Amino acid sequence: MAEILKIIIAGGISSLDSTAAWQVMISQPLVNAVVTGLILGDVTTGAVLGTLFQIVWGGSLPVGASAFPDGATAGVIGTGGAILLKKNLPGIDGNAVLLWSLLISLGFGIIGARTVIYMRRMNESLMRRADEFAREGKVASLELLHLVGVVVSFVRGILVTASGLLVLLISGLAVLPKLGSTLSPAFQPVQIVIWSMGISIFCAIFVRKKSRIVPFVLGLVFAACLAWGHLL
Amino acid sequence: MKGGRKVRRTDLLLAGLRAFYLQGSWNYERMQALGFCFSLVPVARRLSGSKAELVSFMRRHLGFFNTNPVMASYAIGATARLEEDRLSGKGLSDEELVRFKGSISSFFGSVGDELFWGTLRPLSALLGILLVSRGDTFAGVVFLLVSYNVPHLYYRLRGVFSGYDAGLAVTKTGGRISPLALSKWLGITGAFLGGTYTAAFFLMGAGTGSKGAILFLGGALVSYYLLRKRILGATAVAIILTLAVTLLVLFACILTGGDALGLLRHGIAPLLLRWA
Repeated sequence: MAEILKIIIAGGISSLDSTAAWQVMISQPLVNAVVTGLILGDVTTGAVLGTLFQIVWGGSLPVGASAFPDGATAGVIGTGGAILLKKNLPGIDGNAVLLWSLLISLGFGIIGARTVIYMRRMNESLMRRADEFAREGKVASLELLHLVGVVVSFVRGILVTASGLLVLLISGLAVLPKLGSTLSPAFQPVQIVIWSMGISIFCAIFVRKKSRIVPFVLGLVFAACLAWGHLL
Repeated sequence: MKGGRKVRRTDLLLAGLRAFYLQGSWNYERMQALGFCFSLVPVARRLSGSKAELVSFMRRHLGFFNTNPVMASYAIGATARLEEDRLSGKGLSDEELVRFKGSISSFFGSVGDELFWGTLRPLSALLGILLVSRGDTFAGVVFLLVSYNVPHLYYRLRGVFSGYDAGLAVTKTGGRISPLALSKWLGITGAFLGGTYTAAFFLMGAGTGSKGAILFLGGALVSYYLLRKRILGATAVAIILTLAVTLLVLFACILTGGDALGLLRHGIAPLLLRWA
């Protein structure tokens, strides 16, 4: 129970950092997955899933009114759920658990994005109250009103993480004992395909101009040289 | 200066620190308006001599506002300066102030989004991914956080003071390091790391055998087509590819003599029945 509570709080903090407060990148899937892994005592699972989530959501930008996938809570759901499932299903191959957690948390990335839109619509009512407080010169109430928005963002993160974790744990406990051995060999090919997605995502960001092709090729050669010298 | 009221450096620092919560009440109607007003409260308290002045100050800054959250500190600093100037009677009128805020929010929005969201954030992520994939998990996480937050905190905390010093000329400031020049050089570094990523992960995929290399190239082509043509978002593409590969592996398992009937009888059928 204490572990579930830790995961849920980590989800709330991640949600805050994604847009409402700080934005110091602790909400990045790679960071929050590794930190969740560290909290639950399994950094390797955090690193493997965090890398995959970071590749998928590395290009999503929280700009203006855009609806961006909620990688902040999904990273915590996936990693936390995977580690708890591994602990509760010791006989099941770890790769099957990782694949199942990946699928469910990717889905929660989309569901989380919808809840962000809903929360932002709810925040519109705060503006009406803010106008009233400003007219009455109640500055402290106006400040409190803004902080309500921050708290709502934290609560949204907690609710999404809790529901995601619930779905992941219940479905994992039902499915994995029966299909675990069948799903297990699929994880490595899935991992390779998601790695390959990274090329499309990062090249779309950095190799937009013809002048960037030269540093891109230099990077290719550099990595090939490192691999040749067994340094990669 | 009316009653000698002047913004202090501590007020600016407080406003800068409050700007970390700029987007706390973000909404589709006026976007960061309440956050902007919240950040300016220490300045408002310093400059307002009466409740009427305070009311007027707060109402002026509850209008539509949206910019890049990091570069918002420049807008906050410049607005504090213009509010201070108004006390001596040489400042802008209400309408001019609203127009000024609108123009600087667009300017800092485009500069900041390009630098922080479009370049620095994916670059830090790429650096982190490359290090973690080498097995340096903690180094990857630390590099991701440090490479992003050093410029992030520099612009955030310096911005409020630079914006105040520059006032109306705030768009001409940006610290010793121009954000546009920084974007350009970080973009080139990102292209280099993109090349490194491509080769490194291709070799990791190919390291699992020829099937891995084919899968890697196939996945890259399919995702490139879907993402480039904007047919689907990255999350949807990842879900589709994950499901497709999982089904492919399941079929391969059945075709190569895996226990297909056993899987149906003991695995899938009872689950479907239970859910039905």
